[in-house]
Amino acid sequence: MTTCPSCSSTVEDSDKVCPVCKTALVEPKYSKTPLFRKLDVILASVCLTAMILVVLCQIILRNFFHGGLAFGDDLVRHLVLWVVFLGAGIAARENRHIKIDVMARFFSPEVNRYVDAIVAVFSTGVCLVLSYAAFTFVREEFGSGFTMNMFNMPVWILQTIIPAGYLIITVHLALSGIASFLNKGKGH
Amino acid sequence: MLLLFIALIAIMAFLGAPIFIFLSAFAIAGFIAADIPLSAITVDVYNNFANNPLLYTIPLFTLAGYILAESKASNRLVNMSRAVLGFVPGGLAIVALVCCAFFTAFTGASGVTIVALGGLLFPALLKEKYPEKFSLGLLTSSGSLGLLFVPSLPLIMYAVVSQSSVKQVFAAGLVPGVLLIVVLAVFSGYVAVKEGIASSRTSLAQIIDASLVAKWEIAIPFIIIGGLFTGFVTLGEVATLTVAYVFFIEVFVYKDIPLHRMLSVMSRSITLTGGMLIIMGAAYSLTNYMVDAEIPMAILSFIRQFISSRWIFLILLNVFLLIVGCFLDIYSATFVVVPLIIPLANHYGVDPVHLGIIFLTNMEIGYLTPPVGLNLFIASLRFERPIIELYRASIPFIIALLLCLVLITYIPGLSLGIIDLFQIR
Repeated sequence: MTTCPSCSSTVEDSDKVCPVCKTALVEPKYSKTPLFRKLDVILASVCLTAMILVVLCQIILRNFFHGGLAFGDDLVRHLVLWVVFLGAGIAARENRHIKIDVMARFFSPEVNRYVDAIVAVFSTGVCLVLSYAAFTFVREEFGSGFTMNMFNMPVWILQTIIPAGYLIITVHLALSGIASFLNKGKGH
Repeated sequence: MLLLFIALIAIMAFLGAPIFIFLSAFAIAGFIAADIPLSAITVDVYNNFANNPLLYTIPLFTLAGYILAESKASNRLVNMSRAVLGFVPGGLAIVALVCCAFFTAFTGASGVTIVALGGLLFPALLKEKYPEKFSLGLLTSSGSLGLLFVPSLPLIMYAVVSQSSVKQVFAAGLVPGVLLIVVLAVFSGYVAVKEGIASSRTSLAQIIDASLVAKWEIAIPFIIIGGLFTGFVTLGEVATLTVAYVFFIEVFVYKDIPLHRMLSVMSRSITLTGGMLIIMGAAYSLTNYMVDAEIPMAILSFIRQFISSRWIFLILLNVFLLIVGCFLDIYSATFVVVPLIIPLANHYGVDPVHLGIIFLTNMEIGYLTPPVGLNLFIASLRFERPIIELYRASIPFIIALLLCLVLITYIPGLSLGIIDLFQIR
């Protein structure tokens, strides 16, 4: 018997998914996960930590030295973008995006298997369109040549996370659709 | 053709497509129909993130909430409030209400409250001979109590979406939030007296002991409110200081969380933030499209034919929002429904800040209403009771909350009085 790391309810050692909050239980032992499988988590955590440190610097500089980082606000707002899109990618990998799943309760697992597959095809398609839309957006910004207040860094570099994030989500949606189809609906 | 697409998207939504996917799909369909280049969808999403000074508080407060949930803060809080409130009739039930409200204000009613505090409080309530049905209903409804208190995410979200002053929204939530707790506390006291439950006695020494143990956590709300309303720091800076403080006390003072566990705590809060804010991005492009297409205006001119009085509008608004709350989670509802109802509320002279409190109170009740009230499902799994039993157990609490909703809706002063009193901008 252990406790679920997400909601701290009691779970069996054999449970792969927490019966209460549906969190994957195998995931949080990051110390044992190979590096390439937790890159998104590490990168997102670095961004979040950087956000906190930049704002703390700003507070100290402003109140004690009457100064501040000129690029601080801009940088923080772009870091949020990174945290959000990387986080949405992790949520897709762990199949934790919020959905209205009223109907799934009424179908048998066998039916759900096909429903999930159809929904996954739809979601993957929509997300692919979003990736394309974001890609054209970044291409336009690339042409415009705007730069950040920081080291003259072009803004488009920070914006690439939008198409990249959507693309990562697309891949995870497709993979989890295939997985739940092959699992014969055991995911429910 | 467009209608066919919309029908297809709606079916996919009900079959379980992620919310951000089907909202984006609606936006894509609209943009294509209006012949706007698709990159405009991303422009909307990007501008929303790049220009909003409030948005970055959301990952920060979420992280603070997850650190608190991971630590043993719940035990310390319950112990302290038991020592302080134990002598009141219904003391333990009131402890449950207060602690759940505190926790929900930080974790944003994601179900964490019921799970983290329920396991602690349910056996304690039964041991003090509170009826089982009452205890179940109490903990289920407490799971979303506290949505109206600083710094709850739904309040920040509402301020972002409605473009109102976040300080005003925070201040407006205070009295209605207290009202909800007081009404449920009076009900609990009544049940306790009727059932002849003895209130416990605690000595002053015990109170001081328990308070000293929990003192670092008790300080958190004061840091936030003090920082914000004295005007030394912005909300973003308050969020940053809160996260740094909570991290420091839980990791280094109480030593509840070993440093190497922080990566998984961060990962969980980042996943929640990402899943929530990507919905916001999708909803933002959709509502921008709807405003361009003058859909809110069309709705307004439609209902103006039937409703002339503000009171009738408010009644219908409540009915509509209760239905929305039954089907949509609080964040999606905020992103999609709020931009649509704000022009209506404006027309009928309802203050947008007051509207926010009405909206969130409705959503709070939505957590408890069948068929999809989230609290009911979480409580059913947590306490291992059939969901029908929880429906029945929640009914008296839903009635009490509806009573409060009526007061909050028809007495704007409850929400707005404190803003006028302290001239909050």
